[in-house]
Amino acid sequence: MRKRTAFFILIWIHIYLFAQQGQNSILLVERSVDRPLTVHKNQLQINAGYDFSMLSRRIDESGNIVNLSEAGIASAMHTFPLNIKYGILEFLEISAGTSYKKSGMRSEDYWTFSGSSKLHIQEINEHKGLEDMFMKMGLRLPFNLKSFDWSVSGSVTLPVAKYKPDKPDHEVILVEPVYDSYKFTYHYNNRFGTGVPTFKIRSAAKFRTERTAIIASADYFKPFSSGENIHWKSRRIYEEFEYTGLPYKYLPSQVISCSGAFTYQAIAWFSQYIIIDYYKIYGGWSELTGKRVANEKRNYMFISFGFEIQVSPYLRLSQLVELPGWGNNTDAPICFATNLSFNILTSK
Amino acid sequence: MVRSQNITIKTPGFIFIAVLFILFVFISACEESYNAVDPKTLDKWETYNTNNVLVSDSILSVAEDSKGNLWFGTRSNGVIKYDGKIWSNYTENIGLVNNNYIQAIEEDRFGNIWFGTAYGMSKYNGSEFLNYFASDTSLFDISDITEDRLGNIWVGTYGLGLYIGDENSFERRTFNDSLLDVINVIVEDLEGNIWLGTYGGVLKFNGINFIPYTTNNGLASNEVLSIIQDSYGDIWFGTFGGKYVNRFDGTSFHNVALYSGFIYTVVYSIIEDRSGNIWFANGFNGVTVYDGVTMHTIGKNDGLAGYMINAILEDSKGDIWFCSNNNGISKYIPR
Repeated sequence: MRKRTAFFILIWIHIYLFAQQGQNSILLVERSVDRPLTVHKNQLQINAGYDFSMLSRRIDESGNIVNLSEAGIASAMHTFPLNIKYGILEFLEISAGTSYKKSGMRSEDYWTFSGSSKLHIQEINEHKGLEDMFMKMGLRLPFNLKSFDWSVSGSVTLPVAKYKPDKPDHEVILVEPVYDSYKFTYHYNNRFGTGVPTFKIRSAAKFRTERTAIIASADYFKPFSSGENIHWKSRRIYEEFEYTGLPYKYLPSQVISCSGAFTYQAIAWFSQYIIIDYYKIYGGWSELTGKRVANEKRNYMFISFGFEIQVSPYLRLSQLVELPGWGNNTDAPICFATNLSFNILTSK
Repeated sequence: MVRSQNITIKTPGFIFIAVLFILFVFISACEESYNAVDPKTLDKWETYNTNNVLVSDSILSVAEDSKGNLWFGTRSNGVIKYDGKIWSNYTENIGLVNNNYIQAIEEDRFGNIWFGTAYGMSKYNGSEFLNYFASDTSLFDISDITEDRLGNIWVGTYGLGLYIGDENSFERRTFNDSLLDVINVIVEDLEGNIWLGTYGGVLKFNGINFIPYTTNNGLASNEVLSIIQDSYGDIWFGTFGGKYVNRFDGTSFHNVALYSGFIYTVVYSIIEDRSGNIWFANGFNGVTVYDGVTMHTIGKNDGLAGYMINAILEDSKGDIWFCSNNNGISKYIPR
């Protein structure tokens, strides 16, 4: 029964895709520089990818680079983004998406004491899970595409992803009985959910020539309200650890970002681009210690280089590398991203 | 056909305006981040001494009243009040019973501040002092004052036992062991029991009887200087000369060794901060912080004014105050 169902689904997909071979399907092979800022009417676009971020440097408060590799605490993050766009009208699109992320960060080891015991402490902060799902609506002007178009969009994220950290676990190894020396490994299990609804507006403009295009965009992200999370406090009673979840309130930071992208259409199916992004993160607070403490202000600029290949009328492949620029109070990872974009017209 | 064209032109404009309006409403509805402390101002130490604002560098006690004023008891210069801006000095000249050894400060439910000195007790109602003396001796050396949940004022003395009463009259209570009459600290737990730390061990008053606990029960030393109840409900005891501090879980005493560099401990004060860290004032070696798993000791190199700490207080803002024996006051603003 399953094989038969799968067979009919494949046949249906095949017929469906080839049914797009008409005048409208030209939209699906249009060059990167020619594309409007929103997808076309009835166009369904599914984007899926994989990003690998390698964090070996951090930028401190003064803007100086801190080499995490030298301290032995470099880490990596794996991201699997997925989003779907659909053109309701030629100038109106809706989209939704989320991503799955996983990272493990080890802090710098240190020695301390507990009574007469000597303790070697190692902390591992693991983050794993889905990000909150966003739903977006975008509008574009003018309706007849020329050398310039402009779009504005608004999106909300719903706090559907898990955001409260799981209970931590500790591993205790007796290293040297004579000196009463132990190795403690703290393992914190964090999530990527925000825990509160958030909202983002975006405006973008695109100028295009025969072989080039420039896209300038600005985003503003803000949480709707404060939320409540838990902080796990642990204590060791002889050989056992006890964990207590202490609630605290928080308000995520606001983010203003702007971006400039230059695209060069080398040939009809191949384009290259350079993107410069700037993020300013400010506002927000947490009451982890009972005192309302503002989140640290951060800003960060990075530059990306990439290309896009039109693999088939339905499939685009893009890859880019993000390199850290300047900023303060921020991680400065190097990111390699690959994205597959599948496009069809759902009706003529 | 003409009507159709009109609709295609007007509808997008309307949608744009509607979207912009909705975005404006969204932004307006968002919660703003007011009154948050700048993280750059945290994890800092400040020192107050006779070189800047204090009249004495020897501070024995500290308490915060319901208005947010901090009161510090000095060894021989009366009481110091800090309202967040101004440091004021209250002495015998304006009615305080005595300037020496202000070891006890307590605010009662009516907002009166009680001060215990080496020669009596004063109640300050915000404008004047009402002084209390022992009827049978001039030396009325008060170690601690606590108001219980019923409104009774418990006054501990060095050698005269316990006084219980209200602002009008006090009843003296002594014990059959003179060491038990040396009361260092009085604490009420969450169940309403009163714990007395004495030179003869601990006495727990359950409303009916005084139940003794000594080294025979597991106390590290019978000379108990400090007591607190932590957020887990356990009672901690700091002693003079014990090898450990004790954690009492309601059934038995557990030894917790402080890494202070000394074999024996002298713990004058214990507090639990709002993050659940327990701070022990070492008599000789600064302060030890215990996060439930690890400990570290804080000394002069970290920002503490002196190594001999008599009292610790976490104020309503979350800042932690350390009263040193000879070096003034340190304030730590935690991260």
